[in-house]
Formats: sequence, structure tokens, C-alpha cells
Amino acid sequence: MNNLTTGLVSVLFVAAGMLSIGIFAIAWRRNLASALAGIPLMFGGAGIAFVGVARFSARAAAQVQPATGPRVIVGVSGPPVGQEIAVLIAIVSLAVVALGVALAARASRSSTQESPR
Amino acid sequence: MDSPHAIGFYASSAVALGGGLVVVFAGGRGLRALALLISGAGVAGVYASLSAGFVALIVLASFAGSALLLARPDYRTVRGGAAQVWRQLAAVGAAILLAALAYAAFRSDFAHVTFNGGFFGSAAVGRLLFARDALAAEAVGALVLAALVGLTVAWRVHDRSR
Repeated sequence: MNNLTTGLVSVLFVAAGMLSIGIFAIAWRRNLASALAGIPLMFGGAGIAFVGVARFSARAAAQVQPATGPRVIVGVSGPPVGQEIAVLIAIVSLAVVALGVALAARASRSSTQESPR
Repeated sequence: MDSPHAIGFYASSAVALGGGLVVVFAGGRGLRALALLISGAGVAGVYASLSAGFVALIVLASFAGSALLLARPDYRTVRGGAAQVWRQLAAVGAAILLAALAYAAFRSDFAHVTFNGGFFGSAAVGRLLFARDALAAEAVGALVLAALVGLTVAWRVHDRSR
């Protein structure tokens, strides 16, 4: 039985999908509050790409040259900078949504004062 | 990545993408917030399957906060100011971006190494956040503080005017 595996390509596919869904939500929804819901999706997609690259990419490759036989390349994973950037992106996403909701509240107040129902 | 992690990755990806699509097409505010929360759970699952448990917790909290903010019933619908043609151009751009990223990911050849950072990885991320890149973390903290102060001030003005 073959083992089910995944790699950086699958991660980047998912990241691209999330990013595009977020952009599509922002572009397609007319309501400002609905469009704000696309921001966490978009930022989440970017974070997935960063974490995936940090998970699968090699920071350095040490080439081991034995006396006889084939050359061996040893991959070394570096510090998880991608995870750090994903944390910062998630926090910025929450801040942007908070600011957007506040601006929507102010805009709704202005529209209420201009055209009371 | 072994089979259980791969199964978790694909299942979480399906939840995240499906929740995102519901966020786009859902009509009600509560349903949209719930879908955003479910999508956040999927994204957190993707992170956890990629050996980033600490990031998964942070992202889950971020999505939950966003869902709570967007589910609040005490602000009215506000129309965005962008023209229709710009919206359509942005939607077409999003589709082109998806196609370009998918093509680039499919055609590229990436190095593949064994990850040795552990499952949770909070110590390594903490060293980066509070030692190596402390200035960036402080800047993001100041940004969040400014956003929360702005949210509070705007909301107090909004409540006082009613």
C-alpha cells in the first residue's frame, strides 16, 4: 500500500486557494462588513505559504563527500522564520479587521445621521 | 510527512477552503462568522499538520476574534465605495492570481528536507520573536494597540451618538 504524502506543492496550492478566496470575498461582496471577512482568509493563505516553506525548504545543504560511492547531500532545516511571520500576519489580520469594523461603525453612524429611517 | 499527518493536512485544507467559500457566499452575518470560525479551525489544522502547533493556536484565536467582531449585530450595512468595474477587475485578478500561483507551484522543483523543529515549536518561534526580531514584534504590538484604541474610540463615539 502506498503511503499518502504531501509536500510543498500541495501546501502552496492550498495557500493560493485561500489567498484567492480572500481576495474574491473582498472584491465580490458589496457590504463592507462582508468584505472584511475576506481579510483573515487572505492573510491565512499567506501564512500557510510561509509555514509551508519553513517546513519543507532547506536553509543549507551540507555536501558529504565519501571516499568511495555516491555523494550525499544532507538538508538542514533552519530556524522557523516562516512560523514567526505567520504569527505576525495573524495578529495584523485581527488588527485590520478590528479597524475595519470600527470604520464601518463610524460610516453607519454617518449614514444614519444623513438619512434617518 | 507520514500518512496521518498527510490525511490531517488534506482534511484540514478541505475544511479551510470550504469554510472560505461559505464566507464568500453566505448571506447572514451569523452564518458568515460561523463559517469564518470553521475556516479558521481548518487553517489551524493545516498549521498543526505542518508541525506548527504554536502558530495554529495563535491563528485560531485570531480567526475567533475576527468572527466575533464580524458577528456583532449593532452596526448597519455599509456599502463600499469602489466602482463596479474595479470590483470585477479585482475578481478577475484574483482568478488570474490563483491560476498563476497554481501553475508556479505545479511546475517548480523544491528541495525537500527532514524537519527537526518539533511539533509545537514555541521555543524556537519565541527566540525569533523576542530576541532576533524583537523590533518587528514590538512594531506589530504597537500596531495592534493602535487598532484596538481606534476601535474603542470609534465604538464609543458610535454608542454616544445613538
